[in-house]
Order: sequence, then structure tokens, then C-alpha cells
Amino acid sequence: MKKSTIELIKLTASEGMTLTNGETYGKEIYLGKNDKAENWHEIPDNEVPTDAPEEMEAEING
Amino acid sequence: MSIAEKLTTIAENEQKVYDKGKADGKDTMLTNVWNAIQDSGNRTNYQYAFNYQAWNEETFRPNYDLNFVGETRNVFLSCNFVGSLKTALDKAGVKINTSNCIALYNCFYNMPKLTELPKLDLTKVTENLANLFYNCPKLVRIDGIVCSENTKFYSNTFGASLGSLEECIFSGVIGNNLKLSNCTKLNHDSLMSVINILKDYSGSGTTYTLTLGTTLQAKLTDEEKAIATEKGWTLA
Repeated sequence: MKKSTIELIKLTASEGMTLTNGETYGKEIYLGKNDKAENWHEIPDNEVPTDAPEEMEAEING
Repeated sequence: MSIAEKLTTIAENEQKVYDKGKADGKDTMLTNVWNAIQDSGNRTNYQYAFNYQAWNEETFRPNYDLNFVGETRNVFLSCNFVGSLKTALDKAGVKINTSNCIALYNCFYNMPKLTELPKLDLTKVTENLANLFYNCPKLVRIDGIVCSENTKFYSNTFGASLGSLEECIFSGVIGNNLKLSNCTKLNHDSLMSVINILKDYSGSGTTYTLTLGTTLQAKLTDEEKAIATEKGWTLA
């Protein structure tokens, strides 16, 4: 029999909020081995940037 | 055979002869068109080559491999390709070769009727992978993506409107942040292909991020998530 313990540190955003470390955004964050909860903070959902490529939209729309 | 019998045979086969001649003519025309597009096999700059054009699995019939070299962008920008680009290339017996690209952006951008892509080699793409896939709402399968630890993904490499993508097996090594959260239908095998090739940063003190979103996270067990976190990757 093999017995093992899995350690996952999970951060969950509050209602209407998103977690970010300044570069990445998410509702549920599972911290990597070298990461810390202090590196993450909450922002309102409506402040999360989109990936919309504005310059390309302009090109497509002529 | 009597003259009457010959005339009967000719009459019976008239449509077949016409169709064959028409098909041969179409083949010749397509061959000539593709020779012109591909500079008889010498073309290496395919920027904007197929943008705004309508192709399908029958007409997209290159005569030579499509060799994308150096900085390549907008190849299929807003191309109204219908169906599987992989099937078209397989029928033609050619490949898209991206193994010598250092940048490959906006290549499959806004292709609303595309369903499948061939395998893409991104091992040398270290400069720009923005919007590689964007607004391909019917794209179900990518035959594979080959990475190296230097492959530099952008947050929008797998951009918006990729909600149908179910299968994309990654191989090689993933050494930089990767965001797949727009691909909410990605299957478990595809996700594990990513998890299994994440570079091990556990001893480096640094953190990299694999952004999956809650829908894809839910497809992984805690044990599978731990494979990533133990290698120094945060799952967002």
C-alpha cells in the first residue's frame, strides 16, 4: 500500500471579484510550489482586461 | 463493332467524357494557380497569402509544402476556409512547415468556418505568437502543437471564440506562461499533454502560470493539478 499526501493551496476570489498577480487573472488559483498567496490580490470583475486585439479589428473592418 | 454499336457506345459515354475533360481542365487550372501562388515551390513568405479568400478542402490544393520562414503573420487572416485545413493538405500530400518561424502571429485569425488544423511546430517561435488562433468558433481539432522551452506564448495565442476546440495534443517542452482558458471544451488528454510537459521549475524559485479557468480546472483531479504545482506552475 502506498500512502501519499497531496498539498494544494487554493485561493478563491470573492463574489464579483477576480484574483490577479498583475499579469494573470482567475477565479480559482492553485499556487505553484514557489508561489505565495501574497503575490495575489482581488480586483472587480469589470477591471479584468480583455485580450481583444484592437488593431486587428481595425484591419478587418477596413 | 458495327457503326451503330459504336454510335451507341459514344452516346452512352458522352457525359462521362465531358465530365472527365472538365475535371482535367479544372485540375490543370488549379495546378497552375497554385504554382503561381507558391512561386513554383520557391515561396517562403506567405504573409497575407490567403487572407479574405474563400477556399475549401477541394480547392486548397498546394503543389508544394507551405514553408513559413522567419517572421510570419496574417497568413489566413479572415480567410473563409470551409472545413478541415488538415484534410485539404493531406489530400494534396503537403504540409505546413512552421519549424523555422521566429514569429507566427494572426495566422489563423478570424476563420469562422474552419474545423481542423494540421500539426504546428512552434519550437523556434520566441518573438511573437499573438492571436495565432482567434475567432475560429468551429475549430474542433488541432492535430498537435510542438513546443520548446523557449516557445513564447502570448495571453491571446489561444484567443477568443475558440469554444469548440476539443483536441490539441502538445508535445516537446512548455517553458513559458500559457493561457488556454478560452478553450473550455478541451478534453482531458489534451490537458494532460500540457501538464506532463511543463518544464520543472521546482528548484529555481520562480513561478510560471498555466491559465485554465475554472471549467478546465474542473476536468483535472487534485493529483493531476499537483503535477503542475509541484513543478513550480501556478494554475489560474
